[in-house]
Amino acid sequence: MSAEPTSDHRLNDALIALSRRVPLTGADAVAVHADVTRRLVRRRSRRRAGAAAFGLVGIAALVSGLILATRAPTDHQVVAVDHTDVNDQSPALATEALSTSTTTSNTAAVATVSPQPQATRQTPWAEVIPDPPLVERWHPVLLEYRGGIFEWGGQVPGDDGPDANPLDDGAWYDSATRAWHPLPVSPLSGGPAFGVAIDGGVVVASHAGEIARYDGPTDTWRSASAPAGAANDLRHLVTVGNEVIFLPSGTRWNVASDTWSAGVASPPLPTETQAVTIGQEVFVVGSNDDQTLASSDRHGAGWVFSLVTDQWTALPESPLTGVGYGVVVAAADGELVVVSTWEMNAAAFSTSSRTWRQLPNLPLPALGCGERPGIVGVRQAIVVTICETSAALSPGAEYWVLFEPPTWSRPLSWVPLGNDRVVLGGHVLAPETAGWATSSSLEIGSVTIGALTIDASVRPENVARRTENLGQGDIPILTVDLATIACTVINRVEPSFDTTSMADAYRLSKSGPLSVTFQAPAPDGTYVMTCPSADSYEAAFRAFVMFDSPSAPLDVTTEFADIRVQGQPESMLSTMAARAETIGGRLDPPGSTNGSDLEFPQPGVQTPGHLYLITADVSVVRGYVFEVTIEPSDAGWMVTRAGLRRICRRGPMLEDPTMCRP
Amino acid sequence: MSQSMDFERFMNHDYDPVIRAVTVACGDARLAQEAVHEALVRALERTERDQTIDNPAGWITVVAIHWTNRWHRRRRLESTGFTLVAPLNRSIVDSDDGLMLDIATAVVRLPLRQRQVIVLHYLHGYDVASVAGLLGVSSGTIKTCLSRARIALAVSLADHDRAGSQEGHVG
Repeated sequence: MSAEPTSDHRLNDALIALSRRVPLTGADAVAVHADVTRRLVRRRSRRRAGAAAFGLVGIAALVSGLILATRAPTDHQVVAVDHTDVNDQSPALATEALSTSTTTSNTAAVATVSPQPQATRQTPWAEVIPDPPLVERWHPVLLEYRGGIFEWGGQVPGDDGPDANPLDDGAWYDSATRAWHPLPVSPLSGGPAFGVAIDGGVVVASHAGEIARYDGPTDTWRSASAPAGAANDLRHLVTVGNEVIFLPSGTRWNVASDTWSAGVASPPLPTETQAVTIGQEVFVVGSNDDQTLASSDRHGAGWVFSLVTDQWTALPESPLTGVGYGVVVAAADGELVVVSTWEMNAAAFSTSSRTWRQLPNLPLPALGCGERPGIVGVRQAIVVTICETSAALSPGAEYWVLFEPPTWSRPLSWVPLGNDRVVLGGHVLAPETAGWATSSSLEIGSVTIGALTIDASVRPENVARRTENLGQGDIPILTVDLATIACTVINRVEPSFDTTSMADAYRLSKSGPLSVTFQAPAPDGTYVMTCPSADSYEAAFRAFVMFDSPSAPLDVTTEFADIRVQGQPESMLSTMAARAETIGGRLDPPGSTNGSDLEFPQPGVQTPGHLYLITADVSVVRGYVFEVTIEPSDAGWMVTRAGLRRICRRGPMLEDPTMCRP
Repeated sequence: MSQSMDFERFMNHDYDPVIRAVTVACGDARLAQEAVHEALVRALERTERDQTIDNPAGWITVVAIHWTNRWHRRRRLESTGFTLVAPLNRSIVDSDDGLMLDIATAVVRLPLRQRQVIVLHYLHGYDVASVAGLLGVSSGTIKTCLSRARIALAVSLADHDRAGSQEGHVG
């Protein structure tokens, strides 16, 4: 098609008009600074982890072990934090904010909190797989083969498209000898590919439509004489007995007899699909049909292919929302689990009852490190990972459990081994040993600052459940007694106890004297403490704001901008005024915006009944609001309850995050 | 921050325009914000290496658009299908505004370089030489990109005009 160049003036006007329609979030400098700083820290952590993956782990561990012997605090040694207030710094992208000097002292005026026994975290990591003798790559065939791992093809990491920088080498990991063996030269041209293990070999189909089979016992490749179009627009490979089915063409290849047959082609599939086989059915779920644009908000359109009847049927509409950027799917215990990669909400489809059930939203960020989530399912758990943080859901469990591998090696991830183990971050994880199914805990939230991740969780028996009708039907409300919350500090990057990072974490998250005592580090590098929640209103409030924050703010004052009185969309100023008024104007004049009345409540001051606050920004767990109930006590003001409350019982929300679609 | 980039100044003067420009280029406001923040990280790292950024708004726009492109490509490849078409989040345009939808769709379907050039030239108002400096190519290359982009976008405008004209006749 051709056209005359349009006038600059008109094009300029149209583009400017378009740009003015862009909805702005109104992010302030401090919030952006906080977010960028968090990304920077994470990026550095990844680099350190990457370096470790290339063989520095051993050296680092040795060195750190020596350091640990001389530096690590012992039981009940207090880590005090300097009170430098990062809030006072100008929101400049200054790395100094991350490296302010800290002190370790036994003279700090802090109370001691005894660590409680570890409640939720076990060590289900069974084995470490050495790195393959291959360069880092994207989109290789990576699957279990002969009890080990098969890796072939892919492309050099980059953004140059699927045809660029193809890699045509591979290797096989023999779990018996714990060694990688290079594969012979393949007849394929390389690049991103699909693969499936079958009949003692591996069938590989490249994105260019080439098909070949690797035979392990003879260590040879053989090209397949496939009929034309067998691997056109290839999406998935499915195995049935000795046959491989190429989707969407439906072409079948009997590998044992080397015979090809036409199959049943799939219906038109959405642009982005993922597939998983459960029993005698192949579930293909996808979204975001770019060809029409109008279906960008479709809710996980799916198809089911019966391996028994050779028929395709439509999957009932899922309850997922916001799947415009695709889904990831896996199966566990006979259930299809679908996770929206944009909103990080999840749903499960029962293959027996043929119905969907909504799963809890994942306690993971949808974005934040520029990666798409990875997912894998085995009998005992579904594991979803993004930004090197994973959440697992055991069949029948009500909560996702946050966890992390000791180190992260992304190339070897999300590979199921048998039906009971998965490779994650280069480690073999055995979910059934984690006890997630029997002692799942509600993960309150997670904060990662520097090398540390601080998880807070509570056991289910300490979670009160009730429903409340707020004009939108019965809404389930979970409330948590703060005194029952356990915190786990995971030192996930630094092999040694890093006092600076620890102090930084606390200075950044709770700038004030904290009653925290760390026990000696466990062999897996974790530390356990009790959240000082019930003992300190201030710390508790800060902690919960932190835990709920999608942006990991550096200061609680920033978060006050996101807090509003229940149901009333208020500006920051009016919100502050309302809070000061509710508190009684004890400390701040009306209209105060520094929030010091909430930050530093005083015992013995006249108190209102209670103050109910809701964080306005629910983007981290869309559809939920985070409630904090603050009540007077003998010790002064105290956060007595906090928890997530679902706004909409079903269906999507409107633009206003507090409004449900009627 | 560093001597070469004043973060506060960027936030006060450039942040919103850059978000708008990247959104137009990638078709999604949330993704644009993510990309701009990632670009800010790169900017910080760059300044830590004592490398200067003469035009933070332009530099971050270029890096952010590149990041969105990479993000889309990587996500598509990981999602199978190997189809590389940029999506468009309809939330940035009113569903009943045909012109805006047409122009937005046309922009996100431009090649990466043309999208960068279009937003730098039309939304940031940089002249050809400045755009060339930001992208590290010759002015001739930028002129070629602009010309091709204009032709592509002209098709959308012409199609919209034609449709509007036909509706007028019917009415």
